[in-house]
Amino acid sequence: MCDSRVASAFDGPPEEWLDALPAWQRADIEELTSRGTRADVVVERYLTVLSATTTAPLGGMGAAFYRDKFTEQIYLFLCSSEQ
Amino acid sequence: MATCLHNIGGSDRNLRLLAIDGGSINGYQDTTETSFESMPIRVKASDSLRDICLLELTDPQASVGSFPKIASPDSLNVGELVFTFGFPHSTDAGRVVLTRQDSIVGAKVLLNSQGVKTKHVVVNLQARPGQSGGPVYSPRLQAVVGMIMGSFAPATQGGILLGNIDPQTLHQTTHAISAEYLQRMVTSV
Repeated sequence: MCDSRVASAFDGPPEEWLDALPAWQRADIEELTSRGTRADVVVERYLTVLSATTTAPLGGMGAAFYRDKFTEQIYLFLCSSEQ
Repeated sequence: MATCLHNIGGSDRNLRLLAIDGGSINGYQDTTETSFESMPIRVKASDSLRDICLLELTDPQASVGSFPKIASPDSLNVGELVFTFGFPHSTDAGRVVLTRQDSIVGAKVLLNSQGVKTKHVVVNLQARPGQSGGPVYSPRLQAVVGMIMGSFAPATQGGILLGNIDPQTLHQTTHAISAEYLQRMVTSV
């Protein structure tokens, strides 16, 4: 039952997933996907990059922690009873 | 409130806003004072492509004043005066001094954020760690027109650090992202 509910969440056009986002976020993702970039690569880019390519942040952290935390939470949500 | 996303270390858990009691900006800031009042804050919205986030106080009764006017730098001219406030050397040396720096617009550029072109202003000053997230203010427009993100650095692999400083960032080419990206986040939350 739970598995089928989870599976049904992936039915339908992927574009509908973007409808819940603010217009500016939707536009960014649509721009990234418009060139045929795979969805997982878009996620990688959207959740990893923290500044422009030629900008060195003044301290702080500039790593892939958002993507890592996102995938960790998705994993826990789908595969663990902890969430 | 807004700052750079890289400033918050990937999570807003235990994130706090320092309330620095310096009185007027024209008064003497006591650098021997090492304890500060603080207020819990959390991320309200974030844009990881552009390294910016909006913050809000966790306590709905708390207040830090009103948000200044925000404007796009589109109408700024090269050579026009801007100034910024920040805390240079705070993250690398623990020096917490709110500092104003005046400069001019050196250029307006489109930078590549993983395939998305993003408007930036080149501010002709040498920024240091602790200034990320600082507002860039235009006295002519009487508005925040950008937010300091970092220093120009060639997109190359490797490099060296001297005294924890990347020599490639020792110059006066500071990148500030257009405040229009903040504006659209403010209006959507």
